[in-house]
Amino acid sequence: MRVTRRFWTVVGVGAVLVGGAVLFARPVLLDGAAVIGAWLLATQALFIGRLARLDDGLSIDQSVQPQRVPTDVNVQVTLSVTVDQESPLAFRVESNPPVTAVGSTQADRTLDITPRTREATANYLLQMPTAGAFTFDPATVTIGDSAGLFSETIDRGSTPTVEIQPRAPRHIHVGEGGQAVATAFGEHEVGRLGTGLEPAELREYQAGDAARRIDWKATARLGHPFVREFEAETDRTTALVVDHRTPLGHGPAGETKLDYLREVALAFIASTQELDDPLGLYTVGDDGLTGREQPEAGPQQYATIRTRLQTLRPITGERVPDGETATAADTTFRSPGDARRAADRLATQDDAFSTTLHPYFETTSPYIERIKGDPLFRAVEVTLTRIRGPVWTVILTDDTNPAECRETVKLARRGEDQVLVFLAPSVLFEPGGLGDLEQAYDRYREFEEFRRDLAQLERVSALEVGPGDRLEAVLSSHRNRRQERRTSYR
Amino acid sequence: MIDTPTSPVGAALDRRVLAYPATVAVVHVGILLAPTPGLSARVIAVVTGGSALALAWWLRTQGASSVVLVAYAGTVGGLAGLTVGALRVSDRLWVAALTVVLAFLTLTYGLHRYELVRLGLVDTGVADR
Repeated sequence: MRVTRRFWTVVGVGAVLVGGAVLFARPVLLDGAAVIGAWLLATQALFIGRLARLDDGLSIDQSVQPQRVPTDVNVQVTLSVTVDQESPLAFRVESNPPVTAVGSTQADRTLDITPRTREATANYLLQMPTAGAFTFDPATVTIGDSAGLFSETIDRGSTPTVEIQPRAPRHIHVGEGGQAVATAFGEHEVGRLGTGLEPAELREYQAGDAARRIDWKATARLGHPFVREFEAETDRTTALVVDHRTPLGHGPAGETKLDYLREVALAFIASTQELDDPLGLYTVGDDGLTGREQPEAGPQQYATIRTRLQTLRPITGERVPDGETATAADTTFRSPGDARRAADRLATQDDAFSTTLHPYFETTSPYIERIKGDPLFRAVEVTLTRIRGPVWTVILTDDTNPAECRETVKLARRGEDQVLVFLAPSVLFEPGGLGDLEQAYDRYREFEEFRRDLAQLERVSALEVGPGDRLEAVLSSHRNRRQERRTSYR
Repeated sequence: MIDTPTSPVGAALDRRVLAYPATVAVVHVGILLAPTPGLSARVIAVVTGGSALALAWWLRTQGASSVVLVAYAGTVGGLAGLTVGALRVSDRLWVAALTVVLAFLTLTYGLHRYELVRLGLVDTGVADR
């Protein structure tokens, strides 16, 4: 309990009487001081009694909606106060959000309850700039007595928790046609047997095998000399080619295409580090190569690449308006081979249509020039072709330029090398991309055709990377529509 | 944070919370002007009783229950009796004054502690055990 200035004023009056009684030797003044003292005590007892009754019937609730949001998104807090019986006391209730919360003033968070009020509610908005789980403190209730002599502050009410999630990719989906793949990134089978640590098979001893390779336990068990073969171990150079051109910056803050691809690339680093394989990194921006780390093994190399990836940002240039974003549909892929076949077909026909179009298919030089002008293609051409030995190339990009992407992948295969492509479907990242789910599904299907087209190339694997929840929304919407159509036919 | 009075009279009284103890003080200081030999015990009782009744009236307007009023009357009587008793035990007036002040402080602190316990604001250590 705190006392106010008014209380001290009354105490001062009583003290004057006590002092006067002693100074002037008048005991009657002590009686006056005793009356004032008794009055103060009665007022205090009156306040405590009312305060206890109020506290017994007071119910304070702080609720948060929604309880799980990304950083800097509005959270609505509702502060509701209920008193089960009328109280002559006025009091103030202040909601206590976590200290990191911003966006609300003290007035927003405060409810002034007048005497005999039974219910009151306040709503306010706040944001959390930092991620984590934050718990509200109980609301602070400040109660004063009717004479203004005393006040008390108590903490009451619920303590909700709000979970603030970082603006980072969640529900990362890596897979094919909406199906997630379970293989760990970076695992690679050599496809031949030799010496190593992982047992592979037993075979009968043949002349010429070293005696130390005999598996004596198996030999004793089977009655003939047997040799145990192991999976051969090898180092495979891995080259990460990360596209961070302007279209890769599409998507909500912290959940852009690049953010998703970055997570995959980081997983690759962890896997490569475990296998101690040489790893290189090439980053490609709008104007070409923006970074180059030649393949090497070692903790320093992995740390450098990890740092480079974590600080990689989409090249900010003239951002492509969302409505004009190129897709697999409007940039229909046509390779020189396709053009040649089309030209052959047109040459055999003599109608006006074929005669008009034939010259456009005769030459492939503009196509080659366009492809050669693509930064990703150029970067692969400049870097990978100079690496000696087998290279496993991992390309992380999107479907904005399908034709260029395909040619880049073909180039990255080099002689006998393998290529793994991670593609971010643009439809899952564009603002309003899922506004029309039917249209979104059609666009996803075009993307899937492009991905399959890539995956059908020899020694090429192509996987999609994106937000699993958004992809699931597109696919489940299509499934529901198909189900409805079937039902209506019956 | 002041209670809204229930009646115009109550409102007027509420605005003059400090006037009540001040009036009590003024009345008692006024007695100083009277010659000591002429101040009988009856006059003192009337003045003190009147003051106590005036403050009891204020408490009543604030909705104090009978229990509080009885406790108030008992406290007035107790403190006054303590003064008289202290004067009988010791002739020194400052001893009586000190006794009244200590009694007031003890009761105030006792109520304060009661409130803390009643509202659960004291860590009793029960949870730890």
